[in-house]
Amino acid sequence: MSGGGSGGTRIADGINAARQSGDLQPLVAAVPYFRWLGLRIDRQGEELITVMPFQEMLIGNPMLPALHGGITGAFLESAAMISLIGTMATPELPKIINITIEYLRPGRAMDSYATGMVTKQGRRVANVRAYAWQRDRDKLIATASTHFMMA
Amino acid sequence: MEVDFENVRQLMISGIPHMAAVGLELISMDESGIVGMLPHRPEFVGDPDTGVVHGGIVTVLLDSLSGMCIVPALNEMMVVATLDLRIDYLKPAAPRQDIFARAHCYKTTRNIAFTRGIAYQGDVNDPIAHATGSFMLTRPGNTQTIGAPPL
Repeated sequence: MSGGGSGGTRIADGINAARQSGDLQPLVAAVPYFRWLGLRIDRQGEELITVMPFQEMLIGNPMLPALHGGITGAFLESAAMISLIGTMATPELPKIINITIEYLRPGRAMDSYATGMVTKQGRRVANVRAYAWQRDRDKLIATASTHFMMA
Repeated sequence: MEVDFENVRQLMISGIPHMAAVGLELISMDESGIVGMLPHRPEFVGDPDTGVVHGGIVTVLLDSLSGMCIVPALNEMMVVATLDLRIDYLKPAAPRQDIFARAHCYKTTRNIAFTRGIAYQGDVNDPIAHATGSFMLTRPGNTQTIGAPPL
């Protein structure tokens, strides 16, 4: 257990710090998988946009070239979770129940952006839709619908 | 379709950057399905308090195997593009343990392949995640209709 605040755990510290400052980057820094993907959070008004900078290691099809489909799914799940944390009142990390990913276009070898829209937040379960795009926000590369368990 | 297992295994390791980056290993592959394994790495962790991996890494594993299991189920070489993939997270992965997965293609039509898969750790009968996928099939050369990368 780390000190600092009433939360006690590192994730709770990250979420509390993020909420106080309005900057979710400390949360990203606390999650090894987010750090490995190099995720950044770009706040635009009320909206939290998760940015996945292009890296060679994200390629799944070197012929096109295109991002790995699994990484597109992982990115949508991450963006859904980050957007949900931005709207939550509790410091616990929401737990994914399921995700359905729809692939619309190949993800090209460039930076990707995604955001989550909380369509319903109940006491126990939250529904989040997530959208991913690259250069043009009107040309989505993939969408996802997700359920998360709240604590 | 007969596949040269050793050839596919080499191609995956050396030819697909994201497969190499996560260290995915192919264990077996035939028309009855495919088995693979993801050795644990600290950078896969999604919850640093518990050490549990991020759901996204399970998505990468199941997406990869679901796409690949179609190839031996086909009568000819086809380009495989993911339409959608649903993942149910059945229970948290045990921390610091390798994750295994198997997938099989249970139906193909002229244009579509349907797959199922599971991810598990110790016990194949007690999976951590279940995946259902559908994939668009395209004859090589007719590439205008390719929507997404095969893996």
